Amino acid sequence: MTASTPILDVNELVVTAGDKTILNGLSLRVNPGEVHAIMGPNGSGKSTLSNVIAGKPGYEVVSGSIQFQGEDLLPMAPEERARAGIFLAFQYPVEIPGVSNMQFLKASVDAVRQHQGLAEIDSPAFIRMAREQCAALKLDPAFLKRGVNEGFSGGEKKRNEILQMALLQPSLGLLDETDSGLDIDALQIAAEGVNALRDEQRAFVLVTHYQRLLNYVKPDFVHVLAAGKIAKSGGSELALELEAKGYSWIQ
Amino acid sequence: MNSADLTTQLHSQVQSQLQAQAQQQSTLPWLTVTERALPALLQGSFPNRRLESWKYSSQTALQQAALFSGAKVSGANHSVSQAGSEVSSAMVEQLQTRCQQLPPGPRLVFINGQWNSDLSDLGSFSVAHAPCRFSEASVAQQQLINTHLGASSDLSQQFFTASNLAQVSDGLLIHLAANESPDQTLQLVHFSSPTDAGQMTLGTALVVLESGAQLSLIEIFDSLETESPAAAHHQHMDIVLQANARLVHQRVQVEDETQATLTNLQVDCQRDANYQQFDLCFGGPIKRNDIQLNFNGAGAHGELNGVFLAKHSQHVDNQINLHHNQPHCTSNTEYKGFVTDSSRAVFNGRILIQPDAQKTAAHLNNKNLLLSSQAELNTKPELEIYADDVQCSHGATIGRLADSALFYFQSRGIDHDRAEAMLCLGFINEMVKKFPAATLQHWIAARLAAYFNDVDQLNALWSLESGDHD
Repeated sequence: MTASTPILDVNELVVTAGDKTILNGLSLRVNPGEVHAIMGPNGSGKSTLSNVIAGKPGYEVVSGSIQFQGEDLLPMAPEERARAGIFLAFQYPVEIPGVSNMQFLKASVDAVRQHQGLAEIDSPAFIRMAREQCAALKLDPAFLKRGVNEGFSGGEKKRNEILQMALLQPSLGLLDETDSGLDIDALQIAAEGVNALRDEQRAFVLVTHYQRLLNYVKPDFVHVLAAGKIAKSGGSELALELEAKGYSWIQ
Repeated sequence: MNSADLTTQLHSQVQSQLQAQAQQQSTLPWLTVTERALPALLQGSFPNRRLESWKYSSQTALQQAALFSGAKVSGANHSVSQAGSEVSSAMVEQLQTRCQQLPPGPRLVFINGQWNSDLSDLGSFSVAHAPCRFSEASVAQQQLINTHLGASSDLSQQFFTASNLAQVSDGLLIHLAANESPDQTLQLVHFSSPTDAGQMTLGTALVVLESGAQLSLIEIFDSLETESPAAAHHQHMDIVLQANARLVHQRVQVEDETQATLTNLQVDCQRDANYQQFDLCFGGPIKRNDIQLNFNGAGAHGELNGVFLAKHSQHVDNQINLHHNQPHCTSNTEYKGFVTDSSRAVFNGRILIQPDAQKTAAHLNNKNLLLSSQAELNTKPELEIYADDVQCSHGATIGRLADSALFYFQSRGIDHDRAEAMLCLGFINEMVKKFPAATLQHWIAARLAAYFNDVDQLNALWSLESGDHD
């Protein structure tokens, strides 16, 4: 991989679910250190894009390609993509009663470390690490002992996603409407979590419905998705324009 | 020979053997229940699929049961133990190691239904009347046993219980006087090992808590892995909770999968009594738990929490009966089933509300995870209500692992198989976490990790649960 290799290179992607075409020739290039925001009306394919990159079953890639750090992503299983450095923060994090958050976090960190040729992290060290991250996200450490997302409030679920991202240290963070349903305080905390991870090597794709998040995580690029492709791209000022005018003027 | 002929033939064999045995000198001449059990056994029919409570038992499981009981029937029997089923010292040594791995605490150990003094250690467990063998019972205790043992069982309908009680030659009596409340949890550990010719071994126990007494009881059913032919055990327990008495009863059946175990549990809850049960059961050639709670006094409360696991070609069967006979009683039943491969499991949960049982609140729920298209699960929650002012609910679900949950794990780098094992364990763990004894939870977690063939990884993960790192 050379310095000029993009982290993510989506090229002319056409994706269907059932007999419906959702992405229709979408192209997107994300370089290291960049933050891209993807906005667009409901049903424009925002979540599909992040799901397809993460490898969620149920979609068919009809044509086009996705390269991750110069490698073809599409043949890889979801767990291989995660180990390679892709992290999807879910729009609706799944509740898993009976498996504690700590177990879940340790299993995922171990899986990623194993892939990187690192030894498993020992439990006390891991617990320390997890607690530090909890404190940074203003989460009660008791939260680590509860079932994964079980009975968590909307805000807690989203912060738990950021916690996982902080522990897994991905090269590419895909945040699927992480800001939806958050109050301002929770939004700020989540945004700080993302900002803390921002550096020259990492990149983020923020899928969002609202401009609000972008006040706290300043994007380098804003793209508007319409009818399954990027209809307009611009700098962060585009988000403000969208907020003021709505999406209808794009088409 | 078809299976019906086989069972008929075996049935008559068993009957004639039992008759012969009954004519021998009884070791407990004062015991009256045998006199009731024997005729019931001779008249009753052998379990078959025409009987509702055996309808969903697979033919293979029934044949297994028939073969076990059809073999030379023996039991917790002095004459038998003298005649050669002596426990070898090598086995005692092995079991000693097993015992050391158990959660600490006072315990009584039974091998094939027989109380083993070498392995048992009551430590500082102290009550007015120490737990004792039926054969050592005082005259007052003999009366207690005669009053309660088998009293709430319909013996003509319960072949294996009738067979057990017809042959009782010894048993265990746990008797707490009024308001006694030992602070230690008492363990009963039932070890099984194959006997010659695969005989069914028998264990019999009676627990009586007098008014206001409280006890916490753990029962562990375990066996040594063995190359020998399968073993079978039947355990009967009567529990009497007098007014305001309280029993926390944790049962764990984690025997080797060659082991067949049938248990029958009868609980008599009197006024304001409180019975809480937590049950975990691994599958076997046939595993069957008959549990009946009888609410015989107003204001009593019963809680049944259970989880059963069946894999390979195992069979697990749960027959739960809640008989609400008196007003203002409450019961909560929650069972979970985990069924995979080509195994088979049954859950029958029946709530019966008698006309006098007004103001009853009874709820029953059974949730199941069915992982394979070859596995079979029959769940049947039943409500039978003869009172008009009650609150009852029942429900059952059968589902598979959610794709969304699997993807969530995979998207965090966890591979499909590990994700599946963790999700299954999570499903089961929800019930395990209800067990009040944390030490027992950890012991169970280790056995569950072994069950899922993922010992090191899952053990390490589960150790995160323990409080060590606080």
